[in-house]
Amino acid sequence: MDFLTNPFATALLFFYQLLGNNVILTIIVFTVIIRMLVFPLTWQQLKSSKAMQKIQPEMKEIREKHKGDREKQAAAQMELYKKYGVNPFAGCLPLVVQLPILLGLYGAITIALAASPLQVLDVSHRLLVPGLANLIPLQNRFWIWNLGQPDTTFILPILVVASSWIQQKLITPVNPGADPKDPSVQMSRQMTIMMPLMIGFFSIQFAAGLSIYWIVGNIIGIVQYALLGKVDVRQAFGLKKRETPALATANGVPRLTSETMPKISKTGDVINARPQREKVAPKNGKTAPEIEIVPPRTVTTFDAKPRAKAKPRSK
Amino acid sequence: MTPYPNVCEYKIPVRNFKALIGLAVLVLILTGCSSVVTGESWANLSTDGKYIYAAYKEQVFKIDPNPSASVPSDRRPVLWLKKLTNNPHFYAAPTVSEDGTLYVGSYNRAQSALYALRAENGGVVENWRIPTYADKVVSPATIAGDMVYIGIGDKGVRGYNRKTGLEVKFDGTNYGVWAKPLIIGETLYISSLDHYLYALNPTTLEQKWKVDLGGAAADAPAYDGAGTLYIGTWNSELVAIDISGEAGKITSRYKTKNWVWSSPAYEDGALYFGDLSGTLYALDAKTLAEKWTIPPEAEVPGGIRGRVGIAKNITVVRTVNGQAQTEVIPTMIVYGTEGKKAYAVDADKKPLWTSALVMSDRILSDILIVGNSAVFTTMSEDQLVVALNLSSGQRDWQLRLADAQSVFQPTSQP
Repeated sequence: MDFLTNPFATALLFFYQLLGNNVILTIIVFTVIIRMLVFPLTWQQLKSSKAMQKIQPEMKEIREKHKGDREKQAAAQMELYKKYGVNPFAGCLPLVVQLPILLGLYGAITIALAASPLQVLDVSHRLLVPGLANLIPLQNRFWIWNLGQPDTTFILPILVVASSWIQQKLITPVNPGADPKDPSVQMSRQMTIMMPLMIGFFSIQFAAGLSIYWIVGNIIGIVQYALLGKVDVRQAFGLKKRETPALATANGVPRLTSETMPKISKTGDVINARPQREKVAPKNGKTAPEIEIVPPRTVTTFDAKPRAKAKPRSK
Repeated sequence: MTPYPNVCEYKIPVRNFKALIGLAVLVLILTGCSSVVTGESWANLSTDGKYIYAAYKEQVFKIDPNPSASVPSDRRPVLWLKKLTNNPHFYAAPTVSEDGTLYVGSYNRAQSALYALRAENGGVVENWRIPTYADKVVSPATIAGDMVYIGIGDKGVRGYNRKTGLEVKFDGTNYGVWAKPLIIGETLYISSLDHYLYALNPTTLEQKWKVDLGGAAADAPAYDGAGTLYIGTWNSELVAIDISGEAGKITSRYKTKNWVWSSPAYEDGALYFGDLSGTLYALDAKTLAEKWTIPPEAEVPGGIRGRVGIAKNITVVRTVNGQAQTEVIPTMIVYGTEGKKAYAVDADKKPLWTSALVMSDRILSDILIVGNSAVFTTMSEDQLVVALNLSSGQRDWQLRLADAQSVFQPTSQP
């Protein structure tokens, strides 16, 4: 990986010099730049993932239809892919290309945050621009952290786990209509839990500056998906949509309840909306009587005049 | 609407579990490919003229460099080995005082301390209050009378009274101090990674002056005895500083090909040192004019990290026109490289010998001249300490860490 790590480490030091010897800012800016550069690949991966999600119901039908017959299942799936122009491996190739780049960035940050003599000796052999040597060692101190050492406060690893989990939830939401027993759904849920925990475990072991890289990378991922309009917070976190309460009925006749009764403020203004009228199916051939509800007049002063009485409609 | 089922209700199917394990292994492997360097160190040596003291990982041990009937001829007896508590990790060479106390600081980030042991038997010095604020010590200790000084890996310098434990400190550096503090007269000199050379009052550690070297300095300066210090920097320079006045003043600089990690050795008006390109330099000390340079060996390139060793009046056997001739070399310069070889040349650049055996791993330590041997350490625990005969370059003896550990049981812990 030296063919990527060494240029990245050199570039990182260049940015460090440019950004006033600020390590945190350097890590953030460099991560943003690299993630922007690989964004076309990320977009490709996302498109493929969405396409696969769209055809999941039909995939499920195929699995049920050809249960027990793997060959027919596979053939039918291939047909489905052809029909929709979906390549099941299209999501893998961008990931395969992205991975070395991101690992190179990860390695470069590790190298640049060299703290011990042996680590600094390693840095000395990697710089492609000798003039940057006078920047070594980097100013690793930031607030309570030495960015070249693991974070013993665990604040950053916790943030890594949290941001990773949120990103996972947002970019791989579960389809509300998906069968929970579907293996792909189960796998997706397990990944949502396991991956952040694993990354958090690694972040405890390694330099705190790498945690900054992870957190920034996760935030960028979330922002990218949000800007593309692909984030559905409600669906991702299983929040149910707020439903308006149905009208209670008695013998088929809509009846106002305390929730649906119009409310009047002390100044005479109507507070809640006009109650919904729910149509009731006729019973025994008889049409249910409809009651027209007339909301009180909106007045700003107390009106001593009596309200108009509700007039039943003639049949 | 069907509510989301609780994922915990589901048992993980075997094939998904295997997939998860596979993914975890893959992540571990890929993470291993990301050049993360673990907290290793090279062993460092010092000598009191008679014995050799080494510090490596969490161990400190004492070696008798003379042959003994108790061990094979290609080994040397380890007189004691001590494993210290609190999981220390030593980068610094031990320092032994005249009264037989050994001081060594550790690098461990959680429990760093400056340890004091009896050089005779490795026993703990009674009533030595281990300073708890000695954080990531890389610098060897300097002993001056009742005081012991160490550079702190994060920032500054500490001085401790060896009898009372009283601490004085200087936190005026912006980065850590890896170099051994140097006392000349009434001044303590500190080379810092923040590019400065500081001159301090040894009693109070108050700053007298500082001078910008232009690059990080990781080793103590060399002194010519006539008011000039010489320091190598990571900015690929050797810098000469005149300290005879009220404040230090840089008089000249010499540009090298790569980082200069260790300070030069001063001998007979000349400076000898190496840089991380593997080039050996000989300069005139007064003018810093280049006398000669030796490039690295093409087949086994590697930087020179440690200080060179200077040996005087060594008899070597040379083959001239097919005939063996003995010759007394007034000044022999010995150096080791990351290319796993050690070399010897004379003051006129004539090569004397190259180590007959390629070492198992890199030579990163300073070269110590003990008796008729050049002693150094490698990164391999199978050749942790190696001694080469100065006359021939042949291996006199070597020490495996396992041999030392098997012979001696750790004594009681401090």
